[in-house]
Amino acid sequence: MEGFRHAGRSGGIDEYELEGCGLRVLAYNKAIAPVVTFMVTYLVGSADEGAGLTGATHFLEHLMFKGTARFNSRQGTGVFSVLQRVGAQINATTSKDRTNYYSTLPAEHLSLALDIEADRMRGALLDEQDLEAERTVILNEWDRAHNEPVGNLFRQVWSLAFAAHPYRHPTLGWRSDIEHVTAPSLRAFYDAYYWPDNAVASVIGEFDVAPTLAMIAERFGGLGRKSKPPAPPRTREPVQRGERRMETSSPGTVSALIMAYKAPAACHEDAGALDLLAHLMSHGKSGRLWRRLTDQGLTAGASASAPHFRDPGLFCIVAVLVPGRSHEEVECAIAEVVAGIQEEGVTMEEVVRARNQLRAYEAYSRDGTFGIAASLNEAIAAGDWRLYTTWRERLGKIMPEDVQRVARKYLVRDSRTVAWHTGRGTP
Amino acid sequence: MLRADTESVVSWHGSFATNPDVAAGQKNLQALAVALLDKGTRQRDRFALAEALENRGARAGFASDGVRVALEGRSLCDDVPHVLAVLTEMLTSPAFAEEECAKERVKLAAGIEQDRESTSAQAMGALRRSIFERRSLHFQPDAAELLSWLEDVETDRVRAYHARHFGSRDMALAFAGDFDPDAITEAVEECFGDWPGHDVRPSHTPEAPPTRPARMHVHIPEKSSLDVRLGHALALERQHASYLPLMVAIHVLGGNFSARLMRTVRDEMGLTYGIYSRLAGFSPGVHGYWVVGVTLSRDKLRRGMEATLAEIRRFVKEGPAAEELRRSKDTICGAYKVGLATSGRLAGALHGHLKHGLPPEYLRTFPAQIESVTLEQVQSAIRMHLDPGALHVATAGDAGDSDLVVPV
Repeated sequence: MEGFRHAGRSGGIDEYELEGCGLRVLAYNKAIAPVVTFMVTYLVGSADEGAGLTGATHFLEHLMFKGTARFNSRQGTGVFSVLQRVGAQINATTSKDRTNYYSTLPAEHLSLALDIEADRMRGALLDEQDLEAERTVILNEWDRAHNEPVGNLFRQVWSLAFAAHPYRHPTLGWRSDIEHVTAPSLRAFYDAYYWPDNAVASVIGEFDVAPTLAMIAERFGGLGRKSKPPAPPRTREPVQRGERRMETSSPGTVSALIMAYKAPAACHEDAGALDLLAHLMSHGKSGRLWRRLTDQGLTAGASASAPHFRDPGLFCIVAVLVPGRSHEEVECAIAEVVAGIQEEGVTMEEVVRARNQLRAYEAYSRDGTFGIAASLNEAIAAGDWRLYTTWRERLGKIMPEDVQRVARKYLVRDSRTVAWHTGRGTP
Repeated sequence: MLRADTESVVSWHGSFATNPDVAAGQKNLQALAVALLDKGTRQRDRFALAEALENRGARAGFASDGVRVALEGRSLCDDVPHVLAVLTEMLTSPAFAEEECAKERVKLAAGIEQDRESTSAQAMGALRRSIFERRSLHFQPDAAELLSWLEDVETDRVRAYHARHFGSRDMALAFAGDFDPDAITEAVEECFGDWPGHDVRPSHTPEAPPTRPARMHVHIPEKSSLDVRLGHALALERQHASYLPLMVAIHVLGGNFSARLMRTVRDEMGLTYGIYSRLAGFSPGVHGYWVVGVTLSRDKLRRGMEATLAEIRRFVKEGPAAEELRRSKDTICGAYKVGLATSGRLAGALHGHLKHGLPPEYLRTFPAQIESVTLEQVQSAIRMHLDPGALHVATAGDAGDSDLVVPV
């Protein structure tokens, strides 16, 4: 393909790099329906924000919909208006390591999505008046998020578990930073990160590769490269040397508990075994947490999840208590489940079941273009899109002893943060 | 059945009529019975049932859906006969063990307590209590009443409800994905061919008796973003000639990010993160209702509610412009095409049409029907069915000392 370097292939996905501007393109031609998903993943997230500028990534994500000189709601050509008119499902999301903009639309309108994403990669207006209107929208989003006690507890656990690394910032930002952020500071953030060589474009669905790449080259090729020096490295989190605990309360009856353990980054060799461990603990009614906690009437629900981030994160066990049950007894029951795996291991039967489930879920995730894009997006953000295409193969090699080993290595008291939330009752 | 190239994945959606006696509180009984279906059968305990599905990665479940019980799921194509057999066992021979029922009641009570802290759930529940009378299918009891009911309900009543109301009456099942149609037909015949229907006729009235518009507020301390719901009952069923024109009208008002309410109240005025308008409650043979939802931080409550109501009044008075209508029709047709790109959505759409008595080809003809909706039809549907003066208003959250809300 003229202007592109073919950079690799895995799981049916081809990677290209657009020479000159450095945009990477992942192309997955898969004719499920006459539909295509186009997504741009920027390698910038809330972990790239400095003090006083928390929430900037998310704020910028909102302002990217306010438009450019060409696509602008004041002219009747707003992004939503133009894309939704052709039936596109569009949105954007912000996380710790990335921001993504996507649209799933009838295949014949792919060029429209390319036009919009290329145009706003360097042409966002970031207008003062738009910023003020959006500030109150985001503050309402912040208030909505903080209405929810378990979500609040989850955010506070990350803030306590990480003393130095920017994963301690909530993705929405601290409220006072949202209240005070300015257009020039967001412009500086935009100019630091919104460039072709800091982004990955993914095209998934029914499309012809050569003409699509030609359209991408035409639209993105002239946008240039990031000329500024690279962003400063993220602060490395010091080793945690002892359990951290916290308690919160609010009116209401919901009580919850989170046990969070420091765990490695998504590209680490132990990440797959931790994924399987989380799955064995919390998946369905055959999961160990359901059997020990929910089935026994201690919790209304309990889950475990392994982190999938670029830097080390948290392996979290979250439990919502049944009214009348105490945090102490739920914490003991969780500790029992963890100790059981550490001491006695897991059975081959459990591992085989998990593999069968994950094999089916992988097939489900390929039913439709957006599911593929969503999984690919997280792998891109974690540092290697092949984490998506090789996931099943890697999990297939994990044995019961691997699961036991990572449980012993990572689910340890010294790297643990335990948080209790208590509902103080309804007035 | 609809075949699609989904690489061995099959999805299904289905339902059957149960016709609970709403006035006698049987909706709650149905919800409890449904929650117990996977907690053990006469043949297997809950763990064996779970393993029978989970060992193959199948996802399947049931839901109580008004006058019907719904089933949905997906699996790899070779596993469909096995999964359907497990679901049939759950539907036809649940154990309803005393101990499991007691546990499920505790779990449901915990869920109700969680909902008590959800501003969206509480605002919607209050709106439905305000609009509808207790004997209506759409009436929603408050948390205290539900908790009290759960405390007292006996397992024998659940068993009796299942025996009387579960069966193949008006059953509809839709499959989509990569499968052999003969194998699916054989599996469905095998599983449900001998499942008898019941003779319980619908006892609810389709229409909602008129109620005086009212304001209700559920105080939830320290919830500084309030959920607001506005709505009123509609005098039409899904098959009514006005349904599609009204659906298009509601889309123009609040169907997506470029709709009127989002453009004005969010984009121009910056008063909310989320605002929408939609039609709800259109179960087969039942009239639905209109709802507008908006979230407002406490300091924006007055301006937000005023702006929302002003935009609704303007819309109902003036109707959509021709260009707005054109845009919404294009959007609905395009989104319909995009939305059917997975086997789950295909099966869901097919089942949705089937349960409303619409022919399977409706899946193909729906866009043309939307295209044919005229501005006059839309304006007539708005005049006939939408009345800002009849809107009930429900709020939930911590409104501080606002005089806009009326505690219940």
